[in-house]
Amino acid sequence: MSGLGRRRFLVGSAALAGGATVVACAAPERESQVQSFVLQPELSLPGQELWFATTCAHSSCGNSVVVRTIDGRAKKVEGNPAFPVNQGKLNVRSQAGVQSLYHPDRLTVPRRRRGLRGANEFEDLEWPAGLDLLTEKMSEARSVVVITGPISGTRARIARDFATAFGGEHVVYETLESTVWRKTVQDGLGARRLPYLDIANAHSILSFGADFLSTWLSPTQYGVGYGEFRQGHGERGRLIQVEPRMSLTGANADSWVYVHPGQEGALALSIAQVIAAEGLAPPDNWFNVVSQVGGLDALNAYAPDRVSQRTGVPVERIQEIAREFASHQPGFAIAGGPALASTNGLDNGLAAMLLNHMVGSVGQPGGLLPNPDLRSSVTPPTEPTSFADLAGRGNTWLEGDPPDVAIVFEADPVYGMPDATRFADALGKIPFVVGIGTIMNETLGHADLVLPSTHAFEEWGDYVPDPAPRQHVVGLQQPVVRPTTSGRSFGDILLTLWHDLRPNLAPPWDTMRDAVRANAAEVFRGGDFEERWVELLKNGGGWNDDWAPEFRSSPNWHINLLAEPAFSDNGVEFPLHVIPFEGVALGGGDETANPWLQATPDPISTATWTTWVEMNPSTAAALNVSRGDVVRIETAHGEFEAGVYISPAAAPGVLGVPIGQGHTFGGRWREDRGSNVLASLAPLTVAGAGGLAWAATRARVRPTGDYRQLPTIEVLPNARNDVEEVIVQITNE
Amino acid sequence: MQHLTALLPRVTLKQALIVGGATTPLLAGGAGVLAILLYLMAAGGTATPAPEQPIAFDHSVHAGDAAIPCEFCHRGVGSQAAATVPSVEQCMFCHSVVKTDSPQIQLLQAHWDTNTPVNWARVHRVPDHVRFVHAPHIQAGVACETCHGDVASMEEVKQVRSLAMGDCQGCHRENSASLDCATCHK
Amino acid sequence: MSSSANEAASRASAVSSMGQTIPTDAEVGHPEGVRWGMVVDLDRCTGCQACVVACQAENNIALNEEQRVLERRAKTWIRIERYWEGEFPNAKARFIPVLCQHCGNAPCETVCPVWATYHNNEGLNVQVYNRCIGTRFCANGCPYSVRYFNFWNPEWPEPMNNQLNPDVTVRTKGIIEKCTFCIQRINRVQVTAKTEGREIRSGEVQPACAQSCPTSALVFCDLNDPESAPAQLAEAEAGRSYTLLEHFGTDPGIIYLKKVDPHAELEEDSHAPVETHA
Repeated sequence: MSGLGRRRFLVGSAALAGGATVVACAAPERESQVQSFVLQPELSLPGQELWFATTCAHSSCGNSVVVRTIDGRAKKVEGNPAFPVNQGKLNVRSQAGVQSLYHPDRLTVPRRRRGLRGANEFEDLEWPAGLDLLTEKMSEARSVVVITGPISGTRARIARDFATAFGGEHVVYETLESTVWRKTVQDGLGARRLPYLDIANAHSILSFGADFLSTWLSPTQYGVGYGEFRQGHGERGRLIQVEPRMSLTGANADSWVYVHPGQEGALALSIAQVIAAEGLAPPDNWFNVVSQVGGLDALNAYAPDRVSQRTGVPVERIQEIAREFASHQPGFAIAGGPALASTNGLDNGLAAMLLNHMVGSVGQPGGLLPNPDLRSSVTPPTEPTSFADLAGRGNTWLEGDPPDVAIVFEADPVYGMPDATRFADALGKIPFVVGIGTIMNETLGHADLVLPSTHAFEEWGDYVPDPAPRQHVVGLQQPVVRPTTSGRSFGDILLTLWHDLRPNLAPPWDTMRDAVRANAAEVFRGGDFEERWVELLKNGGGWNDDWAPEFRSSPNWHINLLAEPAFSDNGVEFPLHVIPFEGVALGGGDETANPWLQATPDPISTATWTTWVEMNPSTAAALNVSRGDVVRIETAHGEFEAGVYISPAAAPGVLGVPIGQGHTFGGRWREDRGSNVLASLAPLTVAGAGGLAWAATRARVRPTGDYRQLPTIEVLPNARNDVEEVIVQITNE
Repeated sequence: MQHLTALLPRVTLKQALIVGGATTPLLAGGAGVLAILLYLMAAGGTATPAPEQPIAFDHSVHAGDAAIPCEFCHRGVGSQAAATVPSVEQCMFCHSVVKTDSPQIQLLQAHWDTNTPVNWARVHRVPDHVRFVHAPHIQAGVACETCHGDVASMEEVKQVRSLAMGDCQGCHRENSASLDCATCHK
Repeated sequence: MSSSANEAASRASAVSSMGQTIPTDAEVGHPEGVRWGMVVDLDRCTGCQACVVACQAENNIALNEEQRVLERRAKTWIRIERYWEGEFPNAKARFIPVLCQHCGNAPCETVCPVWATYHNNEGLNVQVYNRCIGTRFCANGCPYSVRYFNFWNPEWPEPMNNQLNPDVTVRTKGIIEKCTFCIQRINRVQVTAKTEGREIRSGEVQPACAQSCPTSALVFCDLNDPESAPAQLAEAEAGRSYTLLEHFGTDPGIIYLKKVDPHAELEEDSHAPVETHA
């Protein structure tokens, strides 16, 4: 991390206060001039690069970045080498931050709805007029609901306390929420915070559907560990991925194992049974644990020959997995993705967790390690509101008891909630909806008033990474460029309203900057705070080792509770299985307005810019379709179109469909492109956790007769598919 | 076409092509025209007229009579790419007391009072595909006047050298500096 | 493939179309000086595309609109190639980052009629944009298909142009562009080191792709510096190292470390000539 000392990290907005800047890449007429600053900003010279540490998003993505700025323009986003979560590394989406900052379709001024909700007819307003309108509605409101994405830190504290002060609540919407994994951790480990995965020191990882190298929870943190896992220490780690659709993590696994959707728990128990029966782990490790969750008899009901049929995994394969996993310890098992998005997802997760207890990797290096509890002065990361909870609220609103005002920020439930929940209609029952964001989305399209917010690179904030890197970490966010629009930050808007309308209940800070500073002073006590504040901003936050709680020694669960998964249909009328997935670039669809992300090839199919459906050659043959044919995918709750991508990794009968397209709002690169698979999902929930069972929908496919060339970067016919030629592999370790 | 290039023996077609590429998509027919331009730039070189400046700043007074070192105002020159023009504030360090009755200083004062930048007309400029960094030249002991001429005697600064590729190369060659294309072209 | 090896050997002092002898790598003098290169560990690479977007951001690469992708004219100086092996349920996807190999004996350099592409004394295969006249001979000659022709002028709708990196030329229609190993970053470090009166530190130069790579699969280095970590890595992992399409004799500056697959069914001597990507 030799670059750090060399780079000039600059603190605060001193450099941004200068009058004018010289534009390096501007129109030719400007190049014939040299502007002199009125006041020379400290350290800022024309053409000189300055690096600011901040974060890439409002949410607690966990990554801290350093942004290279030249002449007051943000140029490049790089990982913050000092920050313990991403350690100088970055994923695709964080890199694209500059592009959303300078997006030509960003909201620049407040807008007020003129036509019907969702009709995209707005008129521009001045900020005072917009705020007056909002103040008027808020002063009449008896209750409000504040809907945000997964925010944390001071921003979350303001959102929560603001909602309370106005007789309402703060709802956190996450497109594919992490609710089920959080509940698994609570029940399975007795931990309040998500555990740290010690990937770097693991010798084996058994992942049930968790796509941790691509989008699951904290992929950059996990990627850093993965490099070490493979080639960083003596024994090369082994990765076994069990899932119904090959994810990016699955593609990198040493053993990729297909399992029927929803049967991950049964397979996990079968692996546990082999470990017990073959004595692959010391009985001291597992005897008590197994007794506490139902005993050997219960476990023996999951012997490989009994679940092979049900899971679709051959008996020998189950035994091999058990042997490979148990004999390469330390290691751990995790569950995510479709495994947790089945109606029995929580049981699947807890069955996987049982394996950790059996091999003794809970709380051990190379296994699952506890993250420290937060200090009392730190606002914990907001936990996502579960799908069941949000859908329930929607029903209440539909039935005639909506709040008077909804404030929506960086969340798009109208896009992400299945149509069957009628969430757009429910939002429509709320008399006044305010949307705050940098660019239009489906939910903002249904708002009465749209306020432009500042971009993450233009505002103050702080955040608590979740999951934490086994340390107590608070990340800081500072403006790296002056705002390019009239936008105001979400926190500032709420604080302004609060002081205007409920001054007696309002917090002491007038702006987000004051609030972030005050909170930092509270969290990082002692010494000269001015000096410390400068240090904190330079480093992008503060962190230290802290006391970590211990995990519970066995899951709070019973083997007999493992349920069979339920699906949207019995499989007769809708014989195929839809597995939606988050791509490495498009994710849940929040940042698809960004052309870099649209053009980033999906690693598996190499497809860009569109919605496709991954299909096994035999499935395609049965439907008489081939690559590029447009098919209509029908579920009991909706239908959408996608182009066929024939994938040798797709299981027969399983349709892999990427999430993220199918928007009608959000600028030139996002609108009217592809389809939204989430809209057609069945509104099934995960028992005991309330998450959306997004992998439990069945479908049928009808060819439309249309053909559209798939925008992929792979070469077809793949003449060089002789992989040994380009990618030389060896087996020795 | 042929007789045009024949008139210009020093400029070969290859050299013409060198300049054509990036900013001017080159058509075969345009090569001769470009060659003429090139020739004029390379041979004529010196006589770029001084552009009109928003404030009649006189270098002969500052650098000449007062003998203020160049880098006192052009502060970036020793450490980075751009030599940089001074801020209005820096001018005002002296001119809040020096010659405040001069109409030109009052122009400056107006910028200071209204907090508006001065848009100086650019005198020296290299093309977009060239990376020029002042710092290594200063460190190599190249005097400012080597490229910028005797600024201390100029009332209005004008460009005295062509600063075209051949000009740079000649100097690099004499001083055994890098002749790698990638040193200057980005 | 002995015939192609012979061919490569005979090309070692090839004669260009302009009648000048192109010096070989050894003649240029790499063994003593800097030779920039990269070690790519395929066992660490996950195919996550972080390098791809980092490169787009650093190097002012035009937006790859859908139409460009369909025309197969998308520009990605570094791309992740994905290969399929086997069929369900034993199908495997394999990833490899492919970028300009900065060959010591580059086929692209010998065919350029205007010396727009040449080999500099730091081992870089340099593309001088303002020399390029767009014959595309080099792109045809490149076995790795990493040279991209600009069929259109790039467009960045206002205010997106604010993001453009002033250290990198925006390429116009009609010229070839390709990976430069982020030469602007190398230059920046060199100028800084010179200003501070010191040598460049090992690992101080990082191209955008290597900088972002979460798993550290891409490591940039001076191949001639025995102290550099990647050089040591390549040494230590000698059993895993290979170069891409090495039978062409291009002497690539990128060393790949083999993917380890405990379950791979290997065929001996599988180096058969095959068609190239794109």
